[in-house]
Amino acid sequence: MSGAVAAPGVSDMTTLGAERVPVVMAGSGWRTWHGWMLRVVLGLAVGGALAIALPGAAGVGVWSVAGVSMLAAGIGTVLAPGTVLPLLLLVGLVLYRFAAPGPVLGASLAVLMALIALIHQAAALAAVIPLRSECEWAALRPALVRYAVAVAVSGLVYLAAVAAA
Amino acid sequence: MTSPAAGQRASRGGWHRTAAWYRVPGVTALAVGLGVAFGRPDLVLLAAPLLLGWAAALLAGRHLVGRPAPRAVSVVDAESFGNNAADVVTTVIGGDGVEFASVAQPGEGRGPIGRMVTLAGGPATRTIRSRFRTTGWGTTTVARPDSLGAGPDGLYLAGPVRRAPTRTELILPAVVAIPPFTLPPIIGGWAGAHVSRRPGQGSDLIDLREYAPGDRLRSIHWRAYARHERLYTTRTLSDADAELMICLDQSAYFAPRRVEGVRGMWRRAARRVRAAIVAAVAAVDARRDPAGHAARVDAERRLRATSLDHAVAAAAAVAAAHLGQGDRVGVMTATVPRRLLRPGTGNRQLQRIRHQLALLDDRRTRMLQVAWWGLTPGQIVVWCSPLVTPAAVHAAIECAARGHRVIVIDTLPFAGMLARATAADTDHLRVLAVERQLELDRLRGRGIAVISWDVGDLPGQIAEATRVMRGRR
Repeated sequence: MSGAVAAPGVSDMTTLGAERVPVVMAGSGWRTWHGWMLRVVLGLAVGGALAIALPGAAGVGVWSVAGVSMLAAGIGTVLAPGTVLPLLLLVGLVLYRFAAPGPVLGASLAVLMALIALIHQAAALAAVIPLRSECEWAALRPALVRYAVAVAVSGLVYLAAVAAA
Repeated sequence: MTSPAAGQRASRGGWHRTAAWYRVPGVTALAVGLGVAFGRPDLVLLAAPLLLGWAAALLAGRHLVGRPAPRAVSVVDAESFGNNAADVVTTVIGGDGVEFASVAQPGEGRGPIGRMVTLAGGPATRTIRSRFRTTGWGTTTVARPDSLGAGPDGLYLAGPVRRAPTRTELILPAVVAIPPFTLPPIIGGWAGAHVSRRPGQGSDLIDLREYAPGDRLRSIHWRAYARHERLYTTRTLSDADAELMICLDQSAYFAPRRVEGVRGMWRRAARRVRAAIVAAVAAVDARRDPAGHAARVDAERRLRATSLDHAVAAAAAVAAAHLGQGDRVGVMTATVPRRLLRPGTGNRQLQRIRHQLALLDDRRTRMLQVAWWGLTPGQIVVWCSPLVTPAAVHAAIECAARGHRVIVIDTLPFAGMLARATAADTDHLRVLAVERQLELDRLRGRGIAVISWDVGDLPGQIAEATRVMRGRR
């Protein structure tokens, strides 16, 4: 895997002024993401969320108009994450959950909470990171930290709700 | 060199909100509304991580609104620029507080925007170094740092800047290694790699003569002394250098037919898919057989070459080969306006010649009569021409008639033209080929060596050229 990392043997001095700035050598290392990998993560999250939500809804089949629309929105989210399609997908997932029978605070809810947040965040990032880009790990770290904190806090709230019920 | 107009086009606003910014309030409002209205706490919980992550991202990016967008500037590291390779240093300015910034970088063999690199934000300035390499020559766009800055979780966006200030450089033509021409004995010169017909200090033996006072001791032939017990000294032919004038014909320009752009969305998409498949197959091929892949890429590149590409490559190769053995080499365009680089020696002369060649363009101009070329007696003329006009053929014959040794390098990219020709053009090209072959045979019959740059096998062709020149009467 190639990408942008600190170049071995390259001075961190630059000819552009006296300020010392870090220099990275494009295409000379392996500690990078590629833009398309983010789409793969988004695709997996969308697939997981649809697999949980679609079969669970009462009276709405997977191959109904609503089901096919959700599949189309899911595929569209992966292909065009900067459009309105992720919003339609998330709204659809909420509505499917609303239509689902069974235990309200089941395990599927916990998984769906994590996946919906992942779909939103991965789509937001995939919309602004070019598909063929070589991406530093450090560029994604803050987003990962925010996601982890949000899911952890929500998980605690979920556990509290389960305990209270 | 930076294009100011491109720089003005480059500006595109500051920070703005993306669709992701508005997505979370909409979904949260729906989920919480339904949950409260129908007593479904699971729907409220469903929106919780979304809302938390969104709020955290808003807090992290609240300072971005109103700030200038990050921008990128590229410079070429002049010290490492040479032999068609350049280190391009791109500086992303204004990256403090930005979550990440993507910037276009040149790639080796992939043009000025060959790759995108996404860097983490933080420091105000980040520097990226990329290697640019091209098989082309002349004024070339080396870098165009299109950029895009993004706030936390992509909620805010600055750019994309799609027409960043470009960086152009004059790329000198590459030098293909070829053997120098083996020239017949030369009249002038006192030192060099060629033999002359004049006795003097050199390496080729003429005969022996009796020793006379003043002869150098090193020229005494000791084996003759042993046999005859008298001193004899060797007489040799003086070594000579050659003076070559590379003359370029810009009165004609030929290029393989360009493939027309495809109209229609589906056709363009089909072409992209096909190109992606071809690129993937080529990547696998390059890993399995790197040498064979390189040869195939080179053959494809030759099929795209124009007559000017061939002329420039031939001129650079001949100049390097003969300057390397101490000859004097100059270059001139045999057209109006006439551009002349006087004959000289050494590596600096090779750099001057490559620089002059890099400045050539594909404009066709009127050919000068040979009398106005300014050739000096004894110069060897290397005539680089596609040889499609009677004037070009006649110029070679007239140079020979004026007493110059003439070597003709045929620069017509015939294979590429034939490969890209339509059915109607193919017949026309075959007729042209027959007519040219007759002209080339006429030149060879007059003792003028002809080398086809398009055919390849240059060492073999140069050996054949030597045979033709030696057969000249």
